[in-house]
Amino acid sequence: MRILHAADLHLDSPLRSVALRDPVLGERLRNASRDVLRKIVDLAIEHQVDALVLAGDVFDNGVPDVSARTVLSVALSRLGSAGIPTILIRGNHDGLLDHARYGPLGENVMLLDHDRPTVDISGVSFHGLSHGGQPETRSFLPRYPAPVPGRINVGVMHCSPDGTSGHDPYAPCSVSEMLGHGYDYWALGHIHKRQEWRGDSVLAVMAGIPQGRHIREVDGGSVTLVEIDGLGARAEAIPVSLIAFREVELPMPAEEAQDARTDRLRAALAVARAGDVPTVLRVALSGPGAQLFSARSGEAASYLEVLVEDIEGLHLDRVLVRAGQAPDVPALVGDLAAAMREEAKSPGFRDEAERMLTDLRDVLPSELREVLDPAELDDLIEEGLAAVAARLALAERT
Amino acid sequence: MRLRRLDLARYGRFEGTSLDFGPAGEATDVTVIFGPNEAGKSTAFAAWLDLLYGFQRQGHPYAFRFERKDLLVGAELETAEGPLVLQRTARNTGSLTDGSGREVAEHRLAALLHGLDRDAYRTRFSLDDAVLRAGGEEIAAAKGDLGRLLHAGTSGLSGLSRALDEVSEEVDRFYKKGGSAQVLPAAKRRLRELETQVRERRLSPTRFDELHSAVTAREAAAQDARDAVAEARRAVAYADAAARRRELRARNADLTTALEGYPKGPDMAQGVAHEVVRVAAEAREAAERERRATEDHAEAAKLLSEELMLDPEGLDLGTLLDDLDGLRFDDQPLLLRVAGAEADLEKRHAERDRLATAAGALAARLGGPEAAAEDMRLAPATLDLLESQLQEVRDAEHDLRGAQEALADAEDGLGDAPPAPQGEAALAEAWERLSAEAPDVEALREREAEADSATRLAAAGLPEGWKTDLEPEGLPTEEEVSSTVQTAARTADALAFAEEQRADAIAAREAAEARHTAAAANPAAMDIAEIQRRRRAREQAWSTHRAALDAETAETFEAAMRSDDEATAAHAEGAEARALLLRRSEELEATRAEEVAAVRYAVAARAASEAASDRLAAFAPRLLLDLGTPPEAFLPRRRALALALEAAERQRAATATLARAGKRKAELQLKVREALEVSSASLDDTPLGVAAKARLSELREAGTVLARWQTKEEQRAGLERKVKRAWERLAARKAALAEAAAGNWAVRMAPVALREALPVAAELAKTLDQVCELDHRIGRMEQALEIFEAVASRIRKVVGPAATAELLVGAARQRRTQAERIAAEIAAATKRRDDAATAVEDARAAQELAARRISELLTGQELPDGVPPDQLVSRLEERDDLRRERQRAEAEISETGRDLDAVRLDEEEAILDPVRRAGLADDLTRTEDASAAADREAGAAQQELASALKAGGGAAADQERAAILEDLTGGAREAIVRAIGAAAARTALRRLGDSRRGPMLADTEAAFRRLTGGVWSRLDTWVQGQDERLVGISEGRSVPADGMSTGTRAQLYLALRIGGHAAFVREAGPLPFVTDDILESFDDQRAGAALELTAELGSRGQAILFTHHAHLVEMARARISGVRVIELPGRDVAAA
Repeated sequence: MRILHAADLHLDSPLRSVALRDPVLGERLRNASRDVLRKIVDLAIEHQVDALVLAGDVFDNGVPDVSARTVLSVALSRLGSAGIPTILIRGNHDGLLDHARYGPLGENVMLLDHDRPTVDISGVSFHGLSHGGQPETRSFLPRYPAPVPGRINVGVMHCSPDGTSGHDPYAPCSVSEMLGHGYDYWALGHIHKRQEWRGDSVLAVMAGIPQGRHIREVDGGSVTLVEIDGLGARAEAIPVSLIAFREVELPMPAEEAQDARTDRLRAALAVARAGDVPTVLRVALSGPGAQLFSARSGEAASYLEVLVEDIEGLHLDRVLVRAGQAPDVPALVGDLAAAMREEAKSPGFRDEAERMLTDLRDVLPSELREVLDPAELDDLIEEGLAAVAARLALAERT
Repeated sequence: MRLRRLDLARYGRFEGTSLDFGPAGEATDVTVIFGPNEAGKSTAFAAWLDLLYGFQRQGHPYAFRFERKDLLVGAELETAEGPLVLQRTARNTGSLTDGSGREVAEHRLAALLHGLDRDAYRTRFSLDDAVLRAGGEEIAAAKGDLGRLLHAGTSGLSGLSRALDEVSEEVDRFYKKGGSAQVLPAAKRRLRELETQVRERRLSPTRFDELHSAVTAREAAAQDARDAVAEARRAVAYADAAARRRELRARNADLTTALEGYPKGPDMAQGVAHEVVRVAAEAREAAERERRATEDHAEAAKLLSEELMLDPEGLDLGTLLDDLDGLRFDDQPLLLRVAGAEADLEKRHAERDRLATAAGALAARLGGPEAAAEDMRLAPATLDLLESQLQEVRDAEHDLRGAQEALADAEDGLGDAPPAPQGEAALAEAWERLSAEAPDVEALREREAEADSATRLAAAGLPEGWKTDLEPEGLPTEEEVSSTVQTAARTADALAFAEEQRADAIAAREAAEARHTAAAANPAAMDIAEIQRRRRAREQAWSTHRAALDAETAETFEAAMRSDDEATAAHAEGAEARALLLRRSEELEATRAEEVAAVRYAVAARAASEAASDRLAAFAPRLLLDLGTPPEAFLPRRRALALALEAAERQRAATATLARAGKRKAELQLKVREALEVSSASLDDTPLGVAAKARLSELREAGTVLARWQTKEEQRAGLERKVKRAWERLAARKAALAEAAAGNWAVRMAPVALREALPVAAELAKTLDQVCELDHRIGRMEQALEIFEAVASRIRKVVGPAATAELLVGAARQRRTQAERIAAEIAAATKRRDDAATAVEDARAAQELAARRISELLTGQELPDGVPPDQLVSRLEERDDLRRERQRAEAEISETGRDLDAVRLDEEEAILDPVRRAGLADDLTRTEDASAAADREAGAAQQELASALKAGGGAAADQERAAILEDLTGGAREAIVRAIGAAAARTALRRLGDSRRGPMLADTEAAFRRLTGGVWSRLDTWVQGQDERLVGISEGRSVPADGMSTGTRAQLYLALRIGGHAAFVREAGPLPFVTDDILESFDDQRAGAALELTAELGSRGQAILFTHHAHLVEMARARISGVRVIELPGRDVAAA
């Protein structure tokens, strides 16, 4: 039995990166999630799998576009024409998988639910339960059917295995209990980072998101090809993402000749690409020279952009200065910097800074207001003092 | 900290150059370093910074004459803890050392520099024209911001305001209250556009529901329209069916009338007519067959009775011949073997007899006349074995003979063993070592003699016992001697210069005193102090007079009153005279200060010159020179002594080498002699080398002879072993031959006889084999003839005798063939007669059967007489066709009513309205049009839904939206961070301004007033909101700092720097302050003022002024008391 296991497609959920403001790159990736779905179907046909399993969150509640169902339906019907059925469950983002409202997806597409938790394909029993409209705070596992004796049993579940983090804690699930349930393979979804757990004769795989959407989703980018036979289950991750996200830290010493710095940064950037996949790179500058390098607005980004342009398949996202690095402020502005820090401690200044923050927050688009969290005021002040002190130092040096 | 001396040992174009700043003056500490362009002023300042902070690691700008690794600067610093001598090298670690080369920790310097790093020191404690101009721009950019200006004054920062403004502009470019062109509002507008696009392009669930409902409703309407069409179509169908039924009923009536003229009877079944026609044709064919069979029967009966007779004996031969053909013998047909036997049998008997006779003769050769051939026969294997063993014996005999001959040859050529030589290896080793290792003693002796001669030559001109005299203190280094001589010369020059300066200063002061006296003598030059003094005298006199009220006090008061009035009047009229007096006073003060400085400098120069002379004098005895010897002789004497010492050392080394070589050679020669004795050589007067080489040659020749004899002996012993092995092999081969011959007549024969008998035995065996073969073949031929004869006797009884078997069999075959042909013809004629009889009967039966079949097929039909069956059935078929047409009409009437309501159809049939059909057709067209329209609407709704479902959605717009939001995320954070940082910087600047405001502002005001010659009398501040601005006051008019002219702003910046310097010195302590040609853009008056301010800097700490203007040097000398001037030579001079 050979299956292709994918999860968390989040169709039409946009990629979030400054790099996509580049018109060429933006055009190429405007339908990234739909293109990845096509790649998954191509892979299933190429590997002649017996079934495609989608373990939830095919859609994204944040993007309620019913036309996405057509994309899914067309893709899965192409799969059906090749004789490959699709088994899927609803995740916590799959409102569009409401068949009662939107109709079925196709003849070869089987949605597992409480009404039909099990389907047999080629002598293998697939078991799955779908999420409803409400957040699931309890484990689904006790509601999964017992394994069918004498058959290979595959579980499909959208859940939060214990030990995973960074996602809404829907449907928590004990890994040890899951591995002890008696199935041969667990096709899991929900956590966007790919992960495997192996028991004595069972393998559980969290497939991960096939196309990461932003700089925090760096560990997905693949689907899982699974072979199950009398010897157990074997899984292989196959990359499908159109673009990868990576963050690289570039240490900046206090003093460095321009040529040496260029060579060093170019070398560091050249190895930052994620294999053969085009990569969006966020750069975090660290070290005592970071603030000075980044001091003039856009200078560091422009400088790095020039270097990145020479590296095929690499695109620059944002350039950050790693917090916590003591800026190399010369004694020349040291007394002023000290006075700035002293001033920053005063309640009056904090009130002023908070007012400035509030003013800006009030005019930002609502989606971004959380970005400037008043709870981070201390960090923002610290960052501002370092950045402006570095600018003054830079002004003096030049 | 103060710089006492800067040593440019190896730096830039300098080598061994020192800038001596001397001791600090009593009133002020100012040094002017004068040199033309390219003289190295900037180099000197860079060297000072490198000494303090180390050489930069790569691409050092002053590493052109000397490599970076060889750069060296030094300095003598005056600190609170005493003098500190330092050197800086280019080493990566431990680059800072003291005068003795000991490493000095960097933090000692850092403490002296009050923690300032290189940039901070350079910016705060140095000033050049470019910085001065930038400072002026800073004042303009700061728009008079007091905090910024005071900070710029203390830190030297220029560009602070611009940097802060840039930060604010960056923030403003992202977001500004009320702005609409900034990044944020522009992005928000684009976001709104994109959100609209997303809404329009995205198929929301609500929109999907609307579209889906529209599809459902329009599909229902279309269905209703389709129902109406169906009803209209039904009405038309009823009308059409009724019309058709009326036509069919009329046709039926016509058919009934026509059928009355045809024969009665039932409808013929399907195929009956065809069957009747077919059966009638068969009856006709049967009658024809009956006629032909009757004729054939008559012809066959006649043939049998009149022409054909049977041959039984001929037929019987067939069986015998078949048997004979089937017989086989030795896998061949018997007849073939019989034919061969009849031809060969006699010849084989004759050949067999000849071979038997030959075998008897061969047996007799082997065993004598009585020997039977079979008894003498040997098996082929025995013959082969005996032949093989005989060959082995022959080979072994041949090998033995060869080995015996070789051994005999070897023993003949061997001879006796020669004696072995003794001691060759030891002699060879000793001789080789003597040849390779013995030193060239003669060459070394010559070298010693040369060294001795060179030593005497180098010591020529030196006092007797020079070497011994040098030993107590050793020879001083060239650097020590050179440095001491140069120092003595330099201090002497400096003393002469200082004396000249002192004389000039005294003369200048005396001239100034004279000018001052003359100016003071002018009553109009009365100054305000004198007026105040006379006013106080007047007031004192008035107080005294008012207390006493007597004449004396009245006169005194009157005199004081007049004096005061005169002074007031004179002051009112003598502004010019007072100004002159003030200048004379200042001039006098300046010349006095210069005189004091010159005197102090001359005293110091004398002390330094005397100290250098003392150090120089101390070197004379160490160089074996008399006291008073001129310094020029010191270095040549030191070099002569060094050369003599080196030559003496080389001579000592040559003598020691010669002694070691002689000893080593004697040891090697003794070893050779010992080896010769061991080898039994005779040691007479022959030279050692000749004897050793001759003896070695003899020993090597003897060794060669012995080695050759040993090789031959080894070869002889090997051949002896080979003969022994050949004998053993021969004996073994003979034993094997005897074993092979055992059991037959050969055992009794010797190998030689046996070798001759074996070919005869082989021939006998071959002949006996041939006899046996012929016996066998003859037997088989005779057996074949017997078998044939058993059959041939019976054949002869039928066909008679024949000469050979072949002729007999041929006659028999011919007889049999003829008998068989006649028998076949009889059988065929019989069968033809019988078949014809049967055919006649069959034809008659068929005719009867056909008549019965036709009768059966037409049962029930009216049959008119005389009508042939073919014509009758044709008529009946016409009748049945009419009947079927009438039935079809009936059926169509029923069919037309099928699926229709019978009642409605009957009613419709009863309606005979001629225009009804057209009206119904119009109704149908109208409803069909309505239905098509409804279908189109339903299709459009479905298309709209399908298009919405297949549309690209809002993904692209959503993607751009996400990218913009991501961009704004970074932008917003950067904007708020910068805004907060800039706000903190501005507030901090205000705080710094406040903290430094009082004393620094006062110092700056005083400096600014002096720099501008009093044109700008005061500095003040304006408060505007939260900002405080600096303004200058000139002639009662307030001018903002940023509104001053460029030159004035530069002077204000200089004043701020002086004020900042004062503040730093108050807080931390003095550090050397360096200016580089900052005064060239000043007019003479302001330059003079600036020089005086430099003197003021020098009063708080050390001030060093670089310039390439000679007139500024003169002005400095005139205006700065005790100023020190160091002149750097030009590049050409330095290079020379």
